[in-house]
Amino acid sequence: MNAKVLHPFSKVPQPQKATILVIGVEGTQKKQFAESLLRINVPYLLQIRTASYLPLPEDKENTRPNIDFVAFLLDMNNSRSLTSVHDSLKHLDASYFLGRVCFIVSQANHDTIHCTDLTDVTRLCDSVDSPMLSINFEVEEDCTIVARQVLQMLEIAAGMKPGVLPLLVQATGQSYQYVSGEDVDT
Amino acid sequence: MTANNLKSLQKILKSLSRDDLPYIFETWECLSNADIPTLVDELNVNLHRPRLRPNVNDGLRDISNLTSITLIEEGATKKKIVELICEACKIHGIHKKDLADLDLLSTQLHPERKRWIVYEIITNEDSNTEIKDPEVLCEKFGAQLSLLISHDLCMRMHNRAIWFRVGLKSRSKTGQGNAVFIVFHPHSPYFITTPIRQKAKEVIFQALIDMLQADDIQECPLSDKDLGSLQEMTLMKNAQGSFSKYRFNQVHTNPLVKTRGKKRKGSILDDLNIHIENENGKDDHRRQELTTDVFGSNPQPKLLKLEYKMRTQLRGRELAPSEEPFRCVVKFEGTNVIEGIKKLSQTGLASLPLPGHLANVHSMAKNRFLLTDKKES
Repeated sequence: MNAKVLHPFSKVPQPQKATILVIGVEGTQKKQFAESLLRINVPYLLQIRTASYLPLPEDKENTRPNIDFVAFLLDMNNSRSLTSVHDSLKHLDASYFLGRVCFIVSQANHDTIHCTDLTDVTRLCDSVDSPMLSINFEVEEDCTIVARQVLQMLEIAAGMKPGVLPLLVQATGQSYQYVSGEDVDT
Repeated sequence: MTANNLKSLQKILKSLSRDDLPYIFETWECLSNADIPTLVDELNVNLHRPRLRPNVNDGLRDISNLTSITLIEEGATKKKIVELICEACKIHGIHKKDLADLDLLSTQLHPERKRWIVYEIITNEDSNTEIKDPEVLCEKFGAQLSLLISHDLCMRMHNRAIWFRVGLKSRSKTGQGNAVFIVFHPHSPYFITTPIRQKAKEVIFQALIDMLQADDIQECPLSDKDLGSLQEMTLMKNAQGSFSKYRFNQVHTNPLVKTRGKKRKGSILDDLNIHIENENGKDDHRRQELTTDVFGSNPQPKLLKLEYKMRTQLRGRELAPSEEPFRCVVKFEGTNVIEGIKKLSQTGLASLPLPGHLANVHSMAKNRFLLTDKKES
């Protein structure tokens, strides 16, 4: 198996442990997001890995646990974040896109400082059939809400919800084409 | 004392903060023989500050041995102290010279209120013009200036530099003159002034050249509001960035002795959270090292504005190739621009290694840069 491509089943998953990989360029607040994830009380051991790009550096390959879920952090103010995510997606195995990936967009409400259109982001999410969440780092409650949603998805991906596979959730998800096609009130 | 003088006095005193007033009392000669207790009595200055010590008698207060320092400690309001000063000055009479002195003192305390420009004195190697005695210098300067323009001159030493205040006549009819402040550094070809009008500038510079037996005065491309940083950048040009550790005496080892590991001031907070692990830790560490090598770990000199004039080709565009250089001006403004560039490089928002015109700003003693393409030789 090519070490450059991240695979969800390349290592043995541990019981009662879940690992999430948060990817975002420098400037997107990965650490703040990770801290809000850790603030929620969960009955299992949560491990968070942060990275700026894929592929991950090879020297830590042996000590790295199995990555159950990948969250991409995008900043609407930083054009580099979107291009970097495009490049990183190539190094992710296709099985991740069956419910083990999500995109989190920050500063989506500040229209004036956007460098890219939100439609570019929704197009990206649709091309890989993955959900998109919007986060506002200035309000702590918003961080907690998004963190809870992400943890829900992570728990399903780690196999902690009996009878629910991530594929089930992903297959029943909505596409963003519908939202952008409406365009009624703009 | 004329009404104009009183107005000017009040204006200058208003601009000072309450904490500056003890220094003024000590250094301004007009107040050294002011009779404070009687004035306190006359003006009914309310010395009222709740005392925490219970055993002091709050009833009758003995004001006969009040000095200016205790006056301020006792809790008199700034307004009352200003009134007191004005009264004292009225009684003893005050001249324009004293007002000029006070203005110079207040500028020395608050140099950030003015914009400062750095100039360099160009002399040929032979002439030996060491500034030995500031008083003599002041007299010489005054003499030279009197030949050319009517003025009043005032001099004080402050922070190992000689400060002059040249009061010029203003065009307006209020009688309040324009003042130019000149800060000299003995044994250095640099001096720093506030902005001067063109005509007065020619005159003052001519006087300076004659006084110092120099050839010319050239303006350095460095001007900003923080005087201390300007002095640091020009006088200690070779001790900035990573060399600042020698200036602050932070090097305790012999550089010829091999050490096991580098002892560095930690600039990243160690990850306290063991559940979060940074996959790119090596990259981060490398970035920190590169940044510390370039900028050093000591505070950077404070620049408020950094300007780049670009005369380079417009690159990266197939649709609009240009033979002529593309003109644009890039300005960086903030509370501490060099510190901002350092942070950009530390957090990874700027690609490393930084180009020379960004990385070496602290050692170049320049505020305005002109960037052109490298000429193909």
